[in-house]
Amino acid sequence: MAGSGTWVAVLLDGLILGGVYALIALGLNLQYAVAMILNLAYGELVMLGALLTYTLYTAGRLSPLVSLLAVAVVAGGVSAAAYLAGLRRVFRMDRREAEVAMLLLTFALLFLLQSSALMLWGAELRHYTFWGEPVFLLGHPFSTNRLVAAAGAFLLSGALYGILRWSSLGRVLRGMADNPRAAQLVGVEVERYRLVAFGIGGMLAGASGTLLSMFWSFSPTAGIDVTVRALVVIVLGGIGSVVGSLTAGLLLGVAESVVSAVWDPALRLTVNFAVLTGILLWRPRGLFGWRT
Amino acid sequence: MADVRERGESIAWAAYFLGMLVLLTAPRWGSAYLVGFCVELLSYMALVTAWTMFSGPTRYFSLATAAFFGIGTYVTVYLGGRIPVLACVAVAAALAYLVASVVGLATLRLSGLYFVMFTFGLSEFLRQFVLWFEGRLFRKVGRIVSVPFSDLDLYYALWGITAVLLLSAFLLRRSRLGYALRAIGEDELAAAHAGVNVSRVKIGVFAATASAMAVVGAILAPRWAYVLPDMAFDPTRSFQVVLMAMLGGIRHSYGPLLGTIPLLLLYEWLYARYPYPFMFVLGLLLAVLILYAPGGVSGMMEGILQRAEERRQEAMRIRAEELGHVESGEG
Amino acid sequence: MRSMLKVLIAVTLVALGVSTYGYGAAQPGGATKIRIGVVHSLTGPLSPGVPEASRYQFRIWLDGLNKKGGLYLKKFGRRVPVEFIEYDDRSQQETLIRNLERLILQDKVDLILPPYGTAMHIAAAPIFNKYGYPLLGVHASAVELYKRRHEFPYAFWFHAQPDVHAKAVTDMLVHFRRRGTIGSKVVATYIADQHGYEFWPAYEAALKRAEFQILYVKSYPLQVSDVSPLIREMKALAPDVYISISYPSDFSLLLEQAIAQQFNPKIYYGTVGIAFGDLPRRYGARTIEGVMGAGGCNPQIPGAKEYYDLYRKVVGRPIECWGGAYMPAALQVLEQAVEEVGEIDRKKIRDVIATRTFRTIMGPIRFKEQMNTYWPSMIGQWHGGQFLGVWGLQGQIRPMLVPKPAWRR
Repeated sequence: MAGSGTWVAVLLDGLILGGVYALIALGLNLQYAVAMILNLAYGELVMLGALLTYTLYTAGRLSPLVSLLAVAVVAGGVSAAAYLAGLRRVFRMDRREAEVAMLLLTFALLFLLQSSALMLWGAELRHYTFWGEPVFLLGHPFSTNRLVAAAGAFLLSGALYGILRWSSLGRVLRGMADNPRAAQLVGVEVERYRLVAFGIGGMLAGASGTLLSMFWSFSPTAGIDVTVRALVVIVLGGIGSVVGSLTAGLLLGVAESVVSAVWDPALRLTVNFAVLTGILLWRPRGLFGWRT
Repeated sequence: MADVRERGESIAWAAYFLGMLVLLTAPRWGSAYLVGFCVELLSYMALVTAWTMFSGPTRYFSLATAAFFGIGTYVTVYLGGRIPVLACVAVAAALAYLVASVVGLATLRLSGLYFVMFTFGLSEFLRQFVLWFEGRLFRKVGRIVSVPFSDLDLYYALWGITAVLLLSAFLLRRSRLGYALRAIGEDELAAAHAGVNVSRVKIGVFAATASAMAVVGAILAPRWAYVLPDMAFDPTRSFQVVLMAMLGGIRHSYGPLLGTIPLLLLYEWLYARYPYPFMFVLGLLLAVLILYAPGGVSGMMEGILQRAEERRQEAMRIRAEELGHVESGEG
Repeated sequence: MRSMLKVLIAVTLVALGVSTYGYGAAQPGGATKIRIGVVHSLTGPLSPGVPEASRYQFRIWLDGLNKKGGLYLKKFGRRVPVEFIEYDDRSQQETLIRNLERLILQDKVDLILPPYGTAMHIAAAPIFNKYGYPLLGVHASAVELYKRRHEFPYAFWFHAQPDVHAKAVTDMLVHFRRRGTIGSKVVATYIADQHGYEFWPAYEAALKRAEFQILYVKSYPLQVSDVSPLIREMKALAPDVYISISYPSDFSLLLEQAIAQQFNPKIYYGTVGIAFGDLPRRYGARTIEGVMGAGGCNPQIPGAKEYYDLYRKVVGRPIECWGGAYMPAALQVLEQAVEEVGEIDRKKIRDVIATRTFRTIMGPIRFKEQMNTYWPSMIGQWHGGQFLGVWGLQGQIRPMLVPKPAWRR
């Protein structure tokens, strides 16, 4: 490996990749921490976003940035519909049943979404490139689209953090996440806020699907990989922590990049899971976990 | 309504006993296709039963099924040409026990989603590691499997481990160990105060069930024509087991098989011809079922039995009233 | 909720009943109807590859057959319509094997089309062989399968072995080195999977024998998400030749990074992924002009252009000019063999496949010891939005663009 210049590139590659990972995790974190729903169908929402963007781009010549909002709204709508149609009943069940019911319902949603996507788009890999030109950072070229996705992660994380920390809506959401019963007693319409949180999580999923589609291939069967990736990030970072999932994403990205450069690129994925299991052994609540 | 629950249990376990007898004789009267299906059925029955023995009562949902199954598979793949398959099975069981014990020790502080993701991470780590290992050392990814083990022997061995697991699950529910596990699931701290050695119970049962999963993997290995780490450590297997168990209902020991068998039947018949529409229907079915019966199929069954019992008692009450009227000379 | 559940259960039971009813009694030997079955991956991780590798081709073939009235059977003196039965193996070997047996023993199919992927072929070969069904092994390239071909006399393999590809590539490189167009510096990446482990050693050996310097070679895992560092490292070495042994998604990642980072080796060669008809639309025909890879379409072969146009009309994209284009050729082999035998006698069909020469859109295919001996093109190159065959077994077959022009936008 040639010298300190390359180290800078390796690090930046890792940070950008890490940003992408953090972006993927954002919506799921919101859905789980605030709406308290572990959405196994999350990846399907991301894929839906990617596939819709693809169709709008290839058939309708609509740039992804233009379709971003529309796609996010569709994904958010699907999430809200799922919540209203069934997921909200979970909260009326007793805790043990609720746990199982939630998993099975999101499984069901996974089947529904994936089969619909398969019927509409078929199983083949889809791909397009948008904004593939390079941007130069510290003298090294990086794809614009990846940079945009990573930047999106930072911006959205920052926005989410800001809202949660400093706005009154954020206070309510945090209160709900901390102690739903107390929140209810104080008169918070927990149900409505959960719907909002779940829906916004869905919108974030769709939006990240749009951004990712600019440089990754995708197919209806790839949803589960995305869900897993997002779960790894939020567990590593600590459920509910926006700072946590951003840090976790960056950590995973940089670890992959460094191992690839220093040792063997074939170990990239092994490293991912080694980091996950390693960190959990050291910090059983993730890096910044505050939920018990 | 404890006797309703007991009645449900008795019916279910009796049915399983009969079912296992039928399965035992299947190679004699079944077509190659049917026997193949029974192999899949038995293997998932075994895996789901093993999974439920630990994860059911303790609520520590493990996604490491694929990890231990894969360990078993690769033990046979590597050693099967040199030592008899049953010896491979023993090695697989021992190795999985060891790995699971270490994992158990390491993860004592983990719970909830963290535990789930740790077990998943373990499974994926093994998959990626074996992929890398096979690639680096042997420059290959898959292995042609040629292990001498007749189809019939394989079937009976698989039936054997499934029977052992079912028997263990049956005995566990009324045993002290079973109570200890449920206590841990209810409230770990209280259980510890009540005298349960939480660590030892958790690690012990986790490791024992892991062993069983590895045995299943080791027995099935000769059936593969060609083994890839992606297939042996397939994470879908872990998810399927969880889905089947929860669909059946993990509150009762007899529950999970009520999810496993119908689901496998549905996959076999409906998936093959029209995969996309039926995946959709499956999603709908699952959603409606769970909203209607959050306790899973076993919960639904219990509900039916409960209502039957209530109707019976109601009928008895009416009869008693009528008799009372007759006795007191009315009417 | 309860009534909805009942409705759903009823629907499911009805569907169950309908599907287990089966296809009705078939006339074995195809007197009234010829049953053709296939088991391949419609769901699961292998499913993305199936549509463009075989499924569209199957559909086009079957529709074409039935438009004509079916397959012509001399024995009955007429065309017999074809019925198609398709099962999903969910990307699982066990399910593949069971459904193959279902096709053979329950549905009593007359012929079976091939599955997808090397692992599936390895699992399927013993079954096809046991029951005597010819297997057209297109989407499989395990050296192991070729080595054991004598165990499976019913299986026929279409693709060239890795060392044949390697030799062609090396000969081509030597040709251009002799002309002074390129030097001897080679860099390579390969996917840490079957394909990479089989192809790379063959390429490495051939390149070393021809005295090329391999400055850099790295492998990466199947689900890699970022390959930027690899391209960076290779660019810094300023090589003449880049060999990418890849699969479609990582091939795209590498290509995109190469374009973004302006990594411009004089020769850019890829394996799987290079030949996808989608490429010009994705990156622009001008951008990918000059990129080379395995395979290549030859529209001048009789029937080829018509087929490519038909495929493009039906599917909406051009055909994949390597594996994808071999499938219709394999189907032609099957069709011609059946028509030559004149009836559904699978042993005779197998013998005909083993010995005759077939006129296909990939040229005159002939099997020797069950291995195909003719490939119209070993190396293709993108010219004006078409991936055309430029180098065959005997050398150059079309003008080539070397060095590859720098990536244009």
